Amino acid sequence: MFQAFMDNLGVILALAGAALSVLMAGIGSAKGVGMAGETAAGVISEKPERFGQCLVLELLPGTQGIYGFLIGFLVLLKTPILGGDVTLTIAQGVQLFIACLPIAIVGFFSAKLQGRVACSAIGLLGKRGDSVGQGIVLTVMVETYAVLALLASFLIQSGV
Amino acid sequence: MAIVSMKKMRLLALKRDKGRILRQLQKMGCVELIQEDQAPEQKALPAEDGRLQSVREEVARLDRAVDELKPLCRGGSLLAVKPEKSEDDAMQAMASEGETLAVVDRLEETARSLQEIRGRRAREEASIAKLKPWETLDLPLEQIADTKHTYMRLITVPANSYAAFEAALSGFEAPAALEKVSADRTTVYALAVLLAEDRKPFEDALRQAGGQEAQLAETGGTPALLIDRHKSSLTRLDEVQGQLQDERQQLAEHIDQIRLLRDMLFLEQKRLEAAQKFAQTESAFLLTGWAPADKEESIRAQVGKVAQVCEMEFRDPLPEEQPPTLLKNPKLVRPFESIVQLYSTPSPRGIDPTLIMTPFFACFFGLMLSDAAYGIVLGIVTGILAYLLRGKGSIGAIASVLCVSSVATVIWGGLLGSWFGIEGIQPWIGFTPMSDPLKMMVLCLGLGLFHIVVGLCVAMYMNFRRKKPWAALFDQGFWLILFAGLGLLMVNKTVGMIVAGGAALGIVCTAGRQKKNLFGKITGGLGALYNITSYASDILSYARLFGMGLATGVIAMVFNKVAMMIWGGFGSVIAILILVVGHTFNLAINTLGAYVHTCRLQYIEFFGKFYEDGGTPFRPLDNQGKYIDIAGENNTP
Repeated sequence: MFQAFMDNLGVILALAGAALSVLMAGIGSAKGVGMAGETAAGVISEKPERFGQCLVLELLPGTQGIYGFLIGFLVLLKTPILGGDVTLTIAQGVQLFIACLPIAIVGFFSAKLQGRVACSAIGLLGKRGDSVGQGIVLTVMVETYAVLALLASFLIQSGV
Repeated sequence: MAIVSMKKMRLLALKRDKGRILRQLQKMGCVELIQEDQAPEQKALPAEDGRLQSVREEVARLDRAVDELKPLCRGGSLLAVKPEKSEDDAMQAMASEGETLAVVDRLEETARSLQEIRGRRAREEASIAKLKPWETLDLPLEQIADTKHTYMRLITVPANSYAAFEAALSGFEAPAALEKVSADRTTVYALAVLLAEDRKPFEDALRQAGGQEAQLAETGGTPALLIDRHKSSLTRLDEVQGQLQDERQQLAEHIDQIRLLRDMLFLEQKRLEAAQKFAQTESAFLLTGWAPADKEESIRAQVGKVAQVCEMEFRDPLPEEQPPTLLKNPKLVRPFESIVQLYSTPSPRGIDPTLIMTPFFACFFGLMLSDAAYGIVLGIVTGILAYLLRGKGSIGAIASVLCVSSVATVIWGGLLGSWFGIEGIQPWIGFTPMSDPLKMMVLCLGLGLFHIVVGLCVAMYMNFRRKKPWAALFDQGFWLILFAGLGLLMVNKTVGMIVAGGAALGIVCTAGRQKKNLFGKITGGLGALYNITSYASDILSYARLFGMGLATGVIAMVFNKVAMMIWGGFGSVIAILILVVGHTFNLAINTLGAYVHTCRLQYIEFFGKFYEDGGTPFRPLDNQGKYIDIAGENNTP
């Protein structure tokens, strides 16, 4: 039993990493989009014509979830789940697990924080309709770090 | 790449020509009228605003009418283009003003009637609800009255104390007659008849049981009859309501007419508001405004045609004056002005970055979306959209921008071998982001470096244009040399070291030149050299080109794999569904992502090097309404 566990430890670690990156980045994005959505509904109740602009701002914190899923998928491709007949050593498993950490952790926090900026930007939009451009730029600033984390995760996992 | 140079225009004419001149200027749509500050002692006559007030009210009234009619009209989507009407149409609209206003009158009348009907319906329904429990009482209500010896009342008693109440009544000397009319879950409705002298104990018993007398204000028949009457008046009200709604439906056919009139009055409102800015005397007025320099001749000619006596003066703006900013670009590039405007309006003495930004915008967008097939789909969709909207409005402008950028998407997609994320297609460039991420990273950062260098060159050009060649060398030239030196390091270490070191020394020595004392000069110079970190982070920021491209490619691959898993037999139908929905979703979400991130790269990394904002957009007196445009000489959006 223990021997079987040790033999598969590499795969187990890789799967844990994949799950982690999808979970954390996804939860962060759901929180961010959720907060922004609540604020957007408030603005739309007063100014229904701003729906399209509000929607863009609401969607911005959603990308972290996609990045997390993306890394999770790439890791799954290296496991027997999607990659066919491959086995992973424990060292490879650890490496894949580590590869998932940047996007999991940075994705979670940046999505939440980006959600807060998106809320403020939507509030700004409610007051001044011509400021959607500035609002988008402010919101996208936060996402830079999620993109960098995505790249770091990608580069680490592509080395396995 | 141009900001149109403006001239300040002053026009002195007779008041009797005022209407004609304003109309002519509105038709030309190339003069922004301004109010010039006047010294208090030469304050001219105040402008009269009686007509303006009434026009504003009329416009607001027609707006309300359109809002009321809009839900009654079918069609009319987000993608409808603002129609352009000829001047004849406009004249006709003004001629039939009375007719249109009659429609609006009728509309308002029907709205009032409907309101009244709603009130009456509510009253009838309340009466029915009140009578409903007594419906089975077979006694005209006016007969429920006291006689000399009897006391007769309708009462309501809570259901749970009704039995006790009944028992209390049966204890009377002459037992009261209690007839249960109806009952629901909580209340019993009953008719009580008793001797007049038993009234007091009866009321006590009723109070004890928690019941009360029922107050029915109506008389004139049995409750059933009264309910019938109310119901038939409800039917009548329904009929009238239906007729009124039909009539409103017919009135809705006039909506275009109302919109046209609304805009005609709105244009008049614009003229009147413009006239408010004039300085005037008893018989003459002075108009001040900004006009593009190249329009001077045609303004002189056209205004001269409609005014018998007038004097015009055009002059260049004084250094302390700030003219409004109007951008002028070739047709293909013009939609990208909206990207610049989204950031802010450039200063009239700055530079219009639209033209130089356009190729970078398209290139970066393409690299972020990075799928040739997506590019083709996006190009077709936005192309149709841009054609339908003729590039007007914010949606039209974005559609045009995306359409141009989709060409770059196809090129990058082909170069990197990405077609719907299908694996194994040969890339033209020799590697894919997945096969060789390092090369891809170098490509992206290299493009970023190029972008930043171009930004610095623009700033240099600005300095030269302002006759500040030294600033150009110190603030931008040294940085360019420094970058070149760092590049040379890879080829030849010594030469690279010397060049980069020299440039760095130059920066340290010159960046603090504005500071007063020596200490300030030194710290200023060192601080400027520290900016190398911000250049480094700027360049790293272009890694997002890779990241966004990766997102598109991998998500597309995910949908392909899922579809492959269930391919075969009935599964194929679902697989096709997954492919269509999945790729549409991926295209949409990544188009949004590519758009906002490309904007960011322009605004922060590129504009940060040279852009000067703080302008106000040029808003000429024009003939564009809310619903229609009147054909004129200058209707560029």
